[in-house]
Amino acid sequence: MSAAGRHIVYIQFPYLAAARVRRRDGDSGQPVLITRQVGGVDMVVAGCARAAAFGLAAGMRLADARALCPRLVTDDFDAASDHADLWRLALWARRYSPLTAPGDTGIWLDIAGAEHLFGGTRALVADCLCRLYRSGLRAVAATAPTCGAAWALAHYGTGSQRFMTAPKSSGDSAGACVVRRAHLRQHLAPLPLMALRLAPGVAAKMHDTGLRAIGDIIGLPRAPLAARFGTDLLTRLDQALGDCDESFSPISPPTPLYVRRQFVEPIAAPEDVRRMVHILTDDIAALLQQAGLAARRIRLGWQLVDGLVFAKDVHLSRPGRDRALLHRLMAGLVTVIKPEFGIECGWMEALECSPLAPLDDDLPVLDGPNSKAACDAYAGLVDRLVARLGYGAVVQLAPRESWQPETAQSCVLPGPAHYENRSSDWSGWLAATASRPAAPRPIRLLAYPQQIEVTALLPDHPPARFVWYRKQHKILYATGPERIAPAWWQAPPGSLTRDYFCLYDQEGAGFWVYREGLPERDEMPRWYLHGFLA
Amino acid sequence: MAGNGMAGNGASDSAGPALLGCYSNFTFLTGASHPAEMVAAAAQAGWRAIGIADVNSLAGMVRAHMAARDHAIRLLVGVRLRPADGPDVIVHPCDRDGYEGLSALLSAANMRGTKAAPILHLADLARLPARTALLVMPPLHPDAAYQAHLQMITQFAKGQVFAGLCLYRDGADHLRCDAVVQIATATGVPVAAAADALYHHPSRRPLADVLACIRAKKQLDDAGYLLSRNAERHVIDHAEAVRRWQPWPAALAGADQLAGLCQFSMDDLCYDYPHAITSHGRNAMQELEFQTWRGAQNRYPDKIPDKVIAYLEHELRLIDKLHIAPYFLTVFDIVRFARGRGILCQGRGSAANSAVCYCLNITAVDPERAQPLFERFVSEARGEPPDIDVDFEHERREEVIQYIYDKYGRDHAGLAATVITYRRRSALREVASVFGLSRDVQAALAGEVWGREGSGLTAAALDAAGLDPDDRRLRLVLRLVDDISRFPRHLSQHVGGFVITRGRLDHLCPISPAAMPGRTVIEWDKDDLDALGLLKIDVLALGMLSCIRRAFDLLQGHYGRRLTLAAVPPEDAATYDMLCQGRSVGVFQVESRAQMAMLPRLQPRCFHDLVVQVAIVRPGPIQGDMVHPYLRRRAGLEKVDYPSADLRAVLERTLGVPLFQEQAMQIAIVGAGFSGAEADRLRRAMATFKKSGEISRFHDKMVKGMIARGYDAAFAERCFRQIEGFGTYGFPESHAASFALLVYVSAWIKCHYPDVFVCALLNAQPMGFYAPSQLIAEAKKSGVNILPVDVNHSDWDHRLEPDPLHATGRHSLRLGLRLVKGLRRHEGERIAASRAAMAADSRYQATSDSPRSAGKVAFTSLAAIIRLADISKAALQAIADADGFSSLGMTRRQALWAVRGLDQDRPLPLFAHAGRRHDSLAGDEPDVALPVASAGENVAEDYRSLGLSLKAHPLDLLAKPLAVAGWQRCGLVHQAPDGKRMRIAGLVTMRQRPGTASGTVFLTLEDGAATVNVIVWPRLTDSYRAPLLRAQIMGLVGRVQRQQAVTHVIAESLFNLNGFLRHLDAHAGTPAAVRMRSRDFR
Repeated sequence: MSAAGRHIVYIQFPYLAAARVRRRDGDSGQPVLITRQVGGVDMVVAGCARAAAFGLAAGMRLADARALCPRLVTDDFDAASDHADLWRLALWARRYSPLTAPGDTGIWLDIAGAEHLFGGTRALVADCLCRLYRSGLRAVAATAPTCGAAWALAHYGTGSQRFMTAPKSSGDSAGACVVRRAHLRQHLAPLPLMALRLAPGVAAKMHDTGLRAIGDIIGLPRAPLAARFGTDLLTRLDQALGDCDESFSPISPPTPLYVRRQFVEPIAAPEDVRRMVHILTDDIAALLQQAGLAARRIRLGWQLVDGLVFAKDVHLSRPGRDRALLHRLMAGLVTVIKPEFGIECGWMEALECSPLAPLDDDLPVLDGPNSKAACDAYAGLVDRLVARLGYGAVVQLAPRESWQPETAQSCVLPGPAHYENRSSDWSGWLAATASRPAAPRPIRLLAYPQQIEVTALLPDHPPARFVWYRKQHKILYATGPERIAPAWWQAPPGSLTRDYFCLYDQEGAGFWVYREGLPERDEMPRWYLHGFLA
Repeated sequence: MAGNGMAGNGASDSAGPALLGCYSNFTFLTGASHPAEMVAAAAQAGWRAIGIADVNSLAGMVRAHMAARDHAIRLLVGVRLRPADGPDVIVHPCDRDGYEGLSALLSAANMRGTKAAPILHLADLARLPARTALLVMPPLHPDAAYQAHLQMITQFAKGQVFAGLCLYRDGADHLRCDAVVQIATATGVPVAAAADALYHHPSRRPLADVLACIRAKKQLDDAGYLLSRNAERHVIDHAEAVRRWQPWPAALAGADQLAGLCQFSMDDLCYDYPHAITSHGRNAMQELEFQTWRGAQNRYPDKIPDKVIAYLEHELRLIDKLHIAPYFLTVFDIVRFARGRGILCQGRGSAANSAVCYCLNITAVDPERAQPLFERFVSEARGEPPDIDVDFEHERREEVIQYIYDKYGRDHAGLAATVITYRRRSALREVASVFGLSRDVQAALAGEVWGREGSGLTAAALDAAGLDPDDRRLRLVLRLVDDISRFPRHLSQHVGGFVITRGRLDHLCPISPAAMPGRTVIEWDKDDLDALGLLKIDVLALGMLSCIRRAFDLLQGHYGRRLTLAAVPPEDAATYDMLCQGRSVGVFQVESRAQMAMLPRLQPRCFHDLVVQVAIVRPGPIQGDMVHPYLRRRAGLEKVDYPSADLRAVLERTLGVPLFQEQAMQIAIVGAGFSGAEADRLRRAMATFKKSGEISRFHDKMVKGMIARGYDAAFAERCFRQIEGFGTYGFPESHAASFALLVYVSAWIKCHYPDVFVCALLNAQPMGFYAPSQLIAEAKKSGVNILPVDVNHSDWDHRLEPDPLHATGRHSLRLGLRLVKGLRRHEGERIAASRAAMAADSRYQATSDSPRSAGKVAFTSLAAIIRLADISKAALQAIADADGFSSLGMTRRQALWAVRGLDQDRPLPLFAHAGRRHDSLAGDEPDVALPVASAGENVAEDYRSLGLSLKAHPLDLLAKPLAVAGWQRCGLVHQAPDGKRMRIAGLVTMRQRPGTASGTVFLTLEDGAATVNVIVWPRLTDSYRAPLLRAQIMGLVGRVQRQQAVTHVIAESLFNLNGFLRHLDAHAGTPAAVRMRSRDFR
């Protein structure tokens, strides 16, 4: 396509990041600011329409912004998310033209040859802005024959040079003009130099010498300009005016990792269903192999003859694409499928894909519980259990650093993060650390402590005997007390401090009991059994 | 066991039960109680001695010592050494020898590393003297390594070694203690019980946990085993300790034995003055007498007034009696050095009460003019050294400091420390992040704390900030913030408090290297030094002294007048006339708005009036409601009467209204029957310990005492309230007198030599209240001609040039390059120097066809400047930004264009001398016609680079559009009748929110012709927040208020008129927008 044929639209989103924060956290009714630390100072880099109404603008210090408007919602600047958002918007904008791309603050569209499908350029842009508005995004757009000019007008244009967001796809924006090549200079001349996408320092330097608008430099000799402000300036000027070519590389949509089988005749026999799953699994495994990806989730879908659609997900505890593994997992699904009057078609989709985890190939082979073989076997077991019992039904215990026995372990969903330190921490659970002597812990902790009858000397002696389930235990050996106070910042009021003792009775059985309530604080002591010692 | 028990019993007769191994919060971010809290709790719990030992530091020891004295419990001075390669070892010195060795050891460790991270190894313990007791703390699980360490320490440490036993109730107490006892027995070392207490009461456990989190930069929820498992590490009751230690009876006995060994007290530290500098075999006192009388003769060349002779004799008698002559001689020596170098200095504070100090040239307040109260300065009752603070020129104080180090040596001179404590705001930030509160919630909390220092956050305030006052975490945060505020956070160095000793300084207190190389800091702050009675000399910096010295130099250079502080003509009517009109911009102390408003009301006519003026505009008298009665009495509107004949003598000089700190003390003595010592304690309570609430103890005594002596209860309350106000913000009369002298001198120079004054003041920047633009505007009003910055005329500093147009010989002020933003000092100075060199070099005289002014040689091109002055392109650009190339025939824009066109940053000197043209692009480059700057753009750019413009005032350029919009000029306010409602627009030059004005904001607006003072009441500040903070040009609707020649405008509504700046520069709003900075909230 020649440069002359271009018809560029640039759509700029001034409040993109703030809109994302609102989508994520809900609208609190307060201005949203996006900030970034620059040399230890929080600087505002973007905001929302409300913030703009308060006079909060990019380039301010956050402290100043708070002084102006004490109630603010802030979030950290996140270039990756911004870019991801723009990428998705560019993808969406392919409804208007096959040539779209994310830019730095918005998206590019080249709509040459596509305008008439929407009733002309104005109607196209108006339709686009209206749809964006309905999804909660404010946008400003401009059209021009060159990329540079479209960007310049979208950011710095005035009045009818730009299309503003309108709630209706009516002719509101119709007043905005579609800049023609012949009028480019005339339109660009009054815009500030920043409109040329210059590095900030360059524009400031030119500002000093009185060169402030694009029009100021259009007629100037080029060599002195280049010598002072760099050749970039002239390139940008030429690009904007169309004297040199500039294009963006349009994105192509990602192809889903998706396989599908349509049957000539509906299938219903269990054997056929099994075969369908088998073929689809083969296909998806081959596809993953080809793409060099591994999936954490595989979705199996099927459609019945009456048009009903069903889907079922299988979760992997870590990204995988191994054919045998997938077969094993998917085989379990066959029983779930109820063909009724027959299945019209089936498909399989790989989700949450990532490049293949290094664990699969790169981990050095070790012996012991952390070796690759052990990990694989464990992962295989977990995955099969999950496939059988359902996602969320299988959990693992993980140690937590906490003095309170009840919270010293937690249930977690099995996942890849858990593998790397699955086994080593458990020995730490009982081991001594610098801050923690090896205080004994029971091998079995009762879910609920059970109250017991105790004979013990006050104030802090271990019991001499206690009764549990009507059986009397005479204590021959005891250690303690280990005093554990409630976690003061989260325990409910009224939580009491406990003194734990290790007791061994005449039969050599070990008990972990505690007394709740301190006699020295005039609290009524009560005794509980909390676990069994080895 | 039995043997140990015997030893313990023997010792306990003298030592009593001793609690060992306590931390205080001077182990920063670990200990969770103040030293005084630990001591008080131990006394309460039945202990007779407490061993406080902070990690590698003695910083909290003086406070602990003071508390121990109050609670009649013995303090075992100690340090918890934390070597890099072994267990903690608590060292308690047995006597002064042991203490000195310990202090020297710590000093050496600090000097090897830093105060925060001293470098200390187990082997260093060998350097401890024999008269020490070492308590080796056990690890949580004593093992072979512990045994090896214990053996090592026993072998090479000369002192008595003990093995520590600790009970933590962690389930392993028995295991641990049995193991330690076994190891100790094997090593042949006695054991001793150590509390290892972090806090004085179990309720401080949350605080200890939070401190641990702050230390580790973790949040509570992730801190895990970093947190404590229980609240057992507190000061335990003695009876309970006896019960718990039953299985190990030797433990407590060992502790008592250790305490019996360590009889050292901080009181044993006695201070020796450094050797006095004497001559002709005189002793210190004789030397002081000699120097005093000789000084007196210099001060009063004609005849020493009888009054002064009487003062001197009285003072010398007292000095002799208290043996503090060496102190005076030390200060005298420092001051003599400064004088010799031409460094201006003046004693401030109570020293100005002394005629001896006047004669020794330390102070400059003539005792003949003021009535000194020597007892305020040196009191027999206090029996402690006086406190002489000396101000030096701020730019040359470093020379004085280096002199002190050189003369006394780093082993004998060190800077006092300053204990930096948590303030509510910093505490809030750190505690909130430990609790994982989001930055937004933190900011909301901090916003509510703003200006509420000291008072707790109320539920309503939290509600207003959008926070839930019932939220448990929030309440915990606020409670902990209260606990933690005023906790020491780290030690910093005092601005200029010097401790000089005769013996080695590191034997007195551990020293550590200061941030600045070649300086040492001790661990105690000024209150600690005071409490121990150690000498401290404050070597302070005062900007106004630099300014006055510059002014004296200029007077001598340009007018041939030699002056000193004491030689400025006294009681000059023209000077007082000027002050009475409130024209005091730039004058020391009385230039603030409050002072300026007070001047016309007070109408100072003599030196004592200035003393009052300085003292009266202070929060103390203002809060005590003393200002208006004084003004009414002075104006004759109210009868001068005295509550009693006794108080008449105290209050006569201030018309019956107490204004000075001394008077507050005397009211307590005369009116409420305080003894002199009590009154002095009261003063101390006012000055330093106000925060600790000690002052309220005096309340009852004073009010009851006054009522008993027949004073009105309301009057008594008022007096006390005023004393409270004086606490932090009152001036003693002597101090006010010292300052008043600087007020007078600076006002005198301003009145008679405004050109000299503005030049000196600008060269001493940054200082004072006003920006250069306002000082220059003020000088213009006084008729001083101001010349712009120019590369061919300006030096780095501002300077005076003869003004041929001015008949009286007054000089013009040539603005200096120091005003140019972005120009570095050495480059600016090189420009001036190379011009001077050119002038001296005949070659340039011959070949130069340059424009000359007054016989001066000038640069002719940018290339010449680069070649001759050897400066960078950036420097040239800075000067171009300031429009400093007019003498080269270049406008600002042309100059910038040319500078940008220079082909490299800095030419090689070789090529430069080969004559290559460096603005060379000009030769083969087409001419470029740059847009011509409008007047508005020029002014805006002047402001950007210089902060002012000589071309025009921006408001004058905007006069037309502002008038069209209905805004009036500032000048009209001063003609308007009282109460008239006006719409004024002006440039905001200052915004203030004084702490005493409970949220009222004061603004100053100006245009080219006049300035207007604006008052914004607190109820407006919220609704007009944005214009209040953002407006550079402000529109104001308000009423004129006129009181005794003082005019204010009371704001009703405010508008941000920054939009008008577009009329100056159409591109304002782009990144290089017009910026006119005001001085905000300083």
